Amino acid sequence: MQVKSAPNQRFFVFGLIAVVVLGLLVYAYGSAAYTQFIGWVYAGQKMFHGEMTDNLSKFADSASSATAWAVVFGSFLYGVFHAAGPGHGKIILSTYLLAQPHEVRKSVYMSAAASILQGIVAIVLVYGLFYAFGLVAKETKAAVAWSERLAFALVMGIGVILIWRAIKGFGWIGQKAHSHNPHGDHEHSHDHGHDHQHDENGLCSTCGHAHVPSSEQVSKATDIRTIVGIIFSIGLRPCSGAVLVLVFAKFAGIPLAGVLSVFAISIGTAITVSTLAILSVQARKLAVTLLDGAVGKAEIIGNGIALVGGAALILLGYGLMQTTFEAPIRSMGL
Amino acid sequence: MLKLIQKTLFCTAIAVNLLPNSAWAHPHEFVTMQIGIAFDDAGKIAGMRYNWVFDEFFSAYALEGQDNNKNGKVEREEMDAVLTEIIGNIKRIQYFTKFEAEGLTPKFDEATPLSSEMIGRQLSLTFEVPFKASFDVTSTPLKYATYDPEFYISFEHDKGKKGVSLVNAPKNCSGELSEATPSEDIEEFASSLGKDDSGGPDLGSSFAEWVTISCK
Repeated sequence: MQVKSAPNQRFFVFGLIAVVVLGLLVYAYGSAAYTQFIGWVYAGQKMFHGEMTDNLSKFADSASSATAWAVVFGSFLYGVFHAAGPGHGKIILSTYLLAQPHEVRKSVYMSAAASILQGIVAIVLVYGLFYAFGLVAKETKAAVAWSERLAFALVMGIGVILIWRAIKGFGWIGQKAHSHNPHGDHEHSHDHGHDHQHDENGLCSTCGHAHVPSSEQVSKATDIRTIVGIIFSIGLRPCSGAVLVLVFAKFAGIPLAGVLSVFAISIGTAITVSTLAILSVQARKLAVTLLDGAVGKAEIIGNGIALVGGAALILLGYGLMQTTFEAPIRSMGL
Repeated sequence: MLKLIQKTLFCTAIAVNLLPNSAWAHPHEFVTMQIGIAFDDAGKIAGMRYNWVFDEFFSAYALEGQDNNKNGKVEREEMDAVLTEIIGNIKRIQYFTKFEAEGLTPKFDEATPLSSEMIGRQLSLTFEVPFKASFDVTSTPLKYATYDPEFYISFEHDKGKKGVSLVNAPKNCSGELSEATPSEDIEEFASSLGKDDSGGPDLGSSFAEWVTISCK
């Protein structure tokens, strides 16, 4: 059997680049560049925060279309900037998207859904609990904490699912045939409708390739559950910035401007998160292209990412969960 | 070329994800402070007077639900209640203040609320914390900083007016406010990661503005 050397070389180069980047990262972490970077992030955060308080105050002083647009635009930019950091959401999403082939469109939908849900959760926790039960933000800390705990439990759950899939994919347990499934690692997801007819051989008459409903439909159903789980694991943790915007808007007597602002933040967030999601999908495609002719390897890498990423998500979820039980002095203890 | 761009973007995406969360300093609450250092007649430091002006968002958060008489106005008693609650809450963390001195450091006694007011939409609170024993700064200077280790709250001295002032101080005493120097603190910061009492990284210390009070 002739061994192709080209894919191996490319694989080696790719690995080398990754190691160099990692090395630079570790170096940067302990260097002045890193501090300049956090200094830059801080300055940005402060600037956007100041813009938001200014814009909302101006709108509260005199409501006009000009001041309303300023609120929307400022909030949008805040969302874009604020989401640029590695929140737990982006780690979950990119791990999921790197581990298996997915469509770009789907990754964008997921990002958008998670970001919008995050805004809705903030509105429900601040306005919903106030207008329904008369609770002010200081009194809803427990509700916020439980929403966060649910989100972090989901983070751990998704980690478990990814590991489980990787184990099955490696053929360590379950059907060994799966690792040699005839679909290989081709880059399209099977989200076409399943309303087609099946003949006796299990072949689908409308799409013309071998189709095994029992395994594929099950995995698709699992995937939908995973997708919903991911969206909720991200969305159930309201952004503190959005909560503060709503509290301020209500206090200043402009509650609707708060809703407007939070949705603008969500849209900004969605754009940043989508960008990272698309990068993850494309990165996987690129890796597979670089490994052409070595289909098995792409699958192994995908499973490897799922395994490592899944473990990382469990640790991350656990760590975040712990923070919800600690009592740091936030908001002056109010 | 396209592949090179893709590759770079990919690595950036990975790099961004691998950066520790602390890389994303996320203060959500902002305090502008003026601190008065009160001397006793013997020329020793008797205590500290804090004036904190909170950002508009936190001010709304703090005052929301305080309107007990439901007249829609923020009144002195309502703000005072917030002040009393805050100084009670932050007592155990020494009012966000850390001392650095050779040998002894001052110990805080009970805080006294002084005043509260609204400046536009911003809540301004003033309170005083005496030291248990007056602190002598003739031989060694007193170094302190007021900051949140978690960096959820950003504390900065008022840059326009006097951020630090000495009250009733002997003529030979002076206070020096040094700018936050995150880049110089980096080694200390990197080694302190995860060792903070709160469990979080002591990121706030990198942004702390240290003040040195000395009498020569």
